[in-house]
Amino acid sequence: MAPSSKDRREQAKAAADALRAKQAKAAQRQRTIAIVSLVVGIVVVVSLVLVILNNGTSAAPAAQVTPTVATGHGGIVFDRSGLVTPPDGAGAAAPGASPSSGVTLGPAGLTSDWPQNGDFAGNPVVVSVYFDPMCPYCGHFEQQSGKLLDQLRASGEIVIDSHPLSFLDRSSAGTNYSTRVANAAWTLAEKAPDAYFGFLEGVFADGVQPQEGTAGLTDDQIAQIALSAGAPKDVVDTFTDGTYTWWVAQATDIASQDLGSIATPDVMLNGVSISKTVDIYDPTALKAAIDAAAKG
Amino acid sequence: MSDPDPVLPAGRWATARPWVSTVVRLALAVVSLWAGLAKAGDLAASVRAVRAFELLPEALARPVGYGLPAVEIVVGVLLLLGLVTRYAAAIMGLLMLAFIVGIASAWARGLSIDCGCFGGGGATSPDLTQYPWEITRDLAIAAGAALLVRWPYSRFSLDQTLGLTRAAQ
Repeated sequence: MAPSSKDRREQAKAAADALRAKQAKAAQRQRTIAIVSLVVGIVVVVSLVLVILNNGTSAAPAAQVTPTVATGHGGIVFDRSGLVTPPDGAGAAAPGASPSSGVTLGPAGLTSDWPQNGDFAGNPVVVSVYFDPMCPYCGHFEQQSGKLLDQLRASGEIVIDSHPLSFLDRSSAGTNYSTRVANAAWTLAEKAPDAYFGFLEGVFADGVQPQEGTAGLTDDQIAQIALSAGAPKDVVDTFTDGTYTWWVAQATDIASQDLGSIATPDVMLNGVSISKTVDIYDPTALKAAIDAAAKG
Repeated sequence: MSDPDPVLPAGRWATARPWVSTVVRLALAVVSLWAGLAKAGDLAASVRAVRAFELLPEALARPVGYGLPAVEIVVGVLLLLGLVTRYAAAIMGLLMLAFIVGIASAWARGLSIDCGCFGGGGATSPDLTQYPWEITRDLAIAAGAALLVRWPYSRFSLDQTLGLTRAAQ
């Protein structure tokens, strides 16, 4: 039986509907492709901009050199007789170790690691000092309590676990003052440790430490302070190589993991921060806290 | 989707709505771009700002510290162009809710930190914390984002050019 004209009409209408639906689908697909490519394009461009921005502003690390004197927590340890190189397994520079390997989060984690668990003659208190060369209160702390710490270390009552950091790099008008001084400090610790504390005293001295937000001391001025502290010229001349620039960023990152929020100066006794409970700028109060930690 | 008019007589609100959405969209774009670019110059600081909240496990500190500025910039560009406005605004709104939770939690735990919302961040002295202001600001941004999710159609947008949204949605 031949299809009726009504059937034919309906078939044609169905075919037309199907074609329209197909076209609409294709248009929708094209629109989706356009949107997805636009969004992906934006993501790619933004990622590139991010990478470029970061390489442009951060101090360009020369090489990834981990100092042999660095502890796993990014500190430099001195006892009464001077620098103490971390024993096997306690240093950051252990072969094959990543800089932050073995680092545990939070102050409690510090007590189970060297130097807090170290075997020092006379069972001294481990005094960890976290500081940034640009931080005004770090200068204040050095001026007020630096002498006391020197004396207590010389008498064997404490060992110092020193942490030069660079998180205030943005506060030096683009010169990365914190990184430059911290790199110098790590260089001294590695090559001329006897000049280390004299150098810190010099850069934190009243009238020498720069104001936050200024360009800070020049490389020449930093070198002069190190020379005055007794560092050999051939060591001082390597400051501008930035040998430990990369490491300073790593040590700062490790400190941020250990401390949560970095508030310098941060002073720890045997791995426990006292900065919020003790007036660390008052040598008498600081001495009392150290004595208490020694008994405990 | 037709919406009963909440405020104005039907005609006037329908006319004003795309313009309100346009202003809110551009304002949010500027805020998001500013926040993202301010962090982008120092990603190590961004990671430290995340850690300062002491909320996320260490394994997430780096991905969030690096990823957040990227997301903020992408969302900012999308809002600026008016492309997939509804979704970009939704992401921004969710980010704000996360920030509000983070800041409120830091406040409640007695931490003294700067939120690092526009770069920097980390510890600050207790009398320099600005928790009420930071939360108010983020609530206002979240409200703007909610408005855009509800009424994403706006003038001068790629959504309009591409015919993704209709005026009478």
